[in-house]
Amino acid sequence: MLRQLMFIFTLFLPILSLHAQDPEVLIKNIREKLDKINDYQAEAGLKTNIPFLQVPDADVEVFYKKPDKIKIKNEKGISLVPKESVSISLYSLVNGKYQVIDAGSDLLNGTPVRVLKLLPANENADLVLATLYIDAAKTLVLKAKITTRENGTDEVDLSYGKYIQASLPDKIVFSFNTQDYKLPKGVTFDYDDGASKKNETGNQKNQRGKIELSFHTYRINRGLEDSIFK
Amino acid sequence: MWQLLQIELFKIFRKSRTYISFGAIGAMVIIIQAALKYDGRSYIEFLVGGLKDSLEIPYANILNGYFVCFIILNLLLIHIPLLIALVAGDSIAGEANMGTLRLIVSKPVSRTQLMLVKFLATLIYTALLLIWLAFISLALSILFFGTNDILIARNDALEIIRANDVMWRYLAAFAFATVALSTVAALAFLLSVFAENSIGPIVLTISIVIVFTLLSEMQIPLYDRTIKPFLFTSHMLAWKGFFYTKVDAAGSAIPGTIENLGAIMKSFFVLMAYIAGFVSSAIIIFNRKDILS
Amino acid sequence: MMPLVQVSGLSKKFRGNAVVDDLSFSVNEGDVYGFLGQNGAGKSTTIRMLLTLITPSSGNIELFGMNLQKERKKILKQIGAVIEKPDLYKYLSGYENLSLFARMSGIRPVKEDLIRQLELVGIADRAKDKVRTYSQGMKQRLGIAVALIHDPRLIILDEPTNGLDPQGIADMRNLILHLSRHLHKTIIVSSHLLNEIEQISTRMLIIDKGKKMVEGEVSSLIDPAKTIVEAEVNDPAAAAVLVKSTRWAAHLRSTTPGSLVFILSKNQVPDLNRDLVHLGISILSIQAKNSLEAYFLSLTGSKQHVAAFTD
Repeated sequence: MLRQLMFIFTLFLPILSLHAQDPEVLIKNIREKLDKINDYQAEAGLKTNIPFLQVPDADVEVFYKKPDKIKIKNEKGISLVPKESVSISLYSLVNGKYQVIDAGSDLLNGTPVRVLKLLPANENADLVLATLYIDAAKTLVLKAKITTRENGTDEVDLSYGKYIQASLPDKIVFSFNTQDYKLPKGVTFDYDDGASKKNETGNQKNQRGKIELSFHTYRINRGLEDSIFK
Repeated sequence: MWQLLQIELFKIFRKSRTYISFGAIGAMVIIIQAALKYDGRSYIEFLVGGLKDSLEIPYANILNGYFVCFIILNLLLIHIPLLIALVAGDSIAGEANMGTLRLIVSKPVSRTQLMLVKFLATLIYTALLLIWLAFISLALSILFFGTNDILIARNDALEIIRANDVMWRYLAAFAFATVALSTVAALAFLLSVFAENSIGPIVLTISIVIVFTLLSEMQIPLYDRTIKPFLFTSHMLAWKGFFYTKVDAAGSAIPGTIENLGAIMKSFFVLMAYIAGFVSSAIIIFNRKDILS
Repeated sequence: MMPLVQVSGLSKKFRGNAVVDDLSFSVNEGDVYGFLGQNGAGKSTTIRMLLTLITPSSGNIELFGMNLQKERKKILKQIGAVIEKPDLYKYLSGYENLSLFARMSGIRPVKEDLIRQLELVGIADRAKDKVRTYSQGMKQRLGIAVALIHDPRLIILDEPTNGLDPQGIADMRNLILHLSRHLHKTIIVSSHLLNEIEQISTRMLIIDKGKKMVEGEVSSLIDPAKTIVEAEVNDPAAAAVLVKSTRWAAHLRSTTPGSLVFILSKNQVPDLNRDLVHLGISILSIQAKNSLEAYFLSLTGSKQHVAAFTD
């Protein structure tokens, strides 16, 4: 479930820009930046790399609407994308009660970054820890690690290009733990072509899945109907 | 030869039991189509299992003609051997039972030629049955459900193949299924040589196919590497291999590819070897057989 | 004249049992050759060997002067046969059956030929009906039509009157005579009924337990002036060799496992007896049968009558 949270969350990460040294102030700035984008509609390429999904690359449309609506649509064909979650939004994250810890500086792919850790005030929350890697010079979030009780640690990597002015990424890569997929052989009557060796690679439980979205165009704040997200 | 083949085909297609198969396939296909039209969502939910909690499943798009056809083939190709055996098992034994075998064998036609023609006629029947199956399962499904990308549920993976990458796979799959079912035809044909009524070879063929299929599908490691590679039923499923795509280093399926063409070709040659073995045994045995019926 | 059918030393064993045992006979062009024996005597097995349905264990078969194994196709083109019951494709019409078998016999008949053939056997009016609806007699007629459609030189009819009513039997007899006298066909007819063979055959062969008992002209075999003499001897094969050098050779009809069978006038029996003794043959008994029928009955026993009525 929290994977979906992460997914939504990360779509907002680009617009978190941190000018001040004080982590609390940085979070406040994030909140203000978030308000500037009410919605967007983007065209993107979707690459799926999940061990039990053999899916070709697809062209999709990504819809977002404040505060927490997100939808990925494949009009021409079928894509299996992580489901949207409406239970927790980034708003609640940045508006919620978190302790922000400054974890100092680091290097991410050669770029100097500030590392901030968000700890939920509520000890019973599913979210255990969120770590943000921020390019302070360009005020961009380059990476986020989100650890939840249910799904372990999910990661998001962001890269910027054409839409850097709007703080929207050209590419987002999500990586997460996946569950197993299994159907009884008596149902599928599979043909054993000798290529299916997934079962022999050991621990099923800790497989990593990756989804990569490469954005081509964004249309920002044009106004989107709620019905799109149904 | 052509003259004899015409005679054999005439005999097959004037028999009412021949049309049972076409009727049965038609009925089964329409039943499956109706069920999926009425409640295809449940079936898809069953296929995706727990994934429906974490993935967005576009049910309406998944339930398209290509997908329906794949389900039909998956369900039916297991049962069609029965229909093939119905005609192939009757090929010699039926004539023995009717008393016409002694008449045709005492005609100026060599027994080898007679057998080849009879098997050829059985193959034509098998091919026509599959063309009929292809027509109603593919064409009717497309008519009723439209086309879209196809979702393939494998034992340990879900696959998606783009709609424009599907048709050639179906053509290849139907061609392969013809070879696969010809193996059943060849087996029934061989058994037909021994019997003097057609029930025996039909029942025996089906029993063999069922037992072999069970052995193929049981996941017993001891069998997996010992007898399984030699069971023709394992190889008969290779038509599905055309719906398994290669995956690149980044985990994306590559359109237009086949995961393991080599394995399919191997299965093809194994089946061809079985056919050749069954048919040549049938011919040799029939040549030595005293016709007492 | 070369015989049309020349069978020599023909044997067939099924799982060690000899069903046909060292059988030799010949059929001449124009013969109506009666093939007589009780049920199970090996008639059908012999006929099936002539038609290549059964492979002989040993022996040689020549038809039309050709070896059957080597020239199978050429020979079978010239044979028409009805083997036991005239079974045909029940789900096809009489016309379709006839057309189908004609093509299998290597000819391409036109419609008129087929209809004419059906008229000859008297079922043209039912040509379009499925054989399933035919009576036994009609099936028999259609079987004959199938046997004749490719104008064969030799016609083999295995128990052609089985299952027919008296009228059917009479019709069949007339048809055989017609084929022989007017169409000059050579015909082999098998039966377990002596009188049937007697009425139509020119030559005949009696077999029992797969062995030849008697072969010859029907007219001489059933000559009331002649009698069948069966001499029971110790070593029939050796005795037969001795006899062949004497005047009795012409009278010797066959050698059975325990006896020599002669056909001669009753008053010649004492001479025969004396000469056999002179030849040093140990005679266990010598019996004169009154007629061929009595002889045939002695071979087949009372079963003959039972068989005649149950069939």
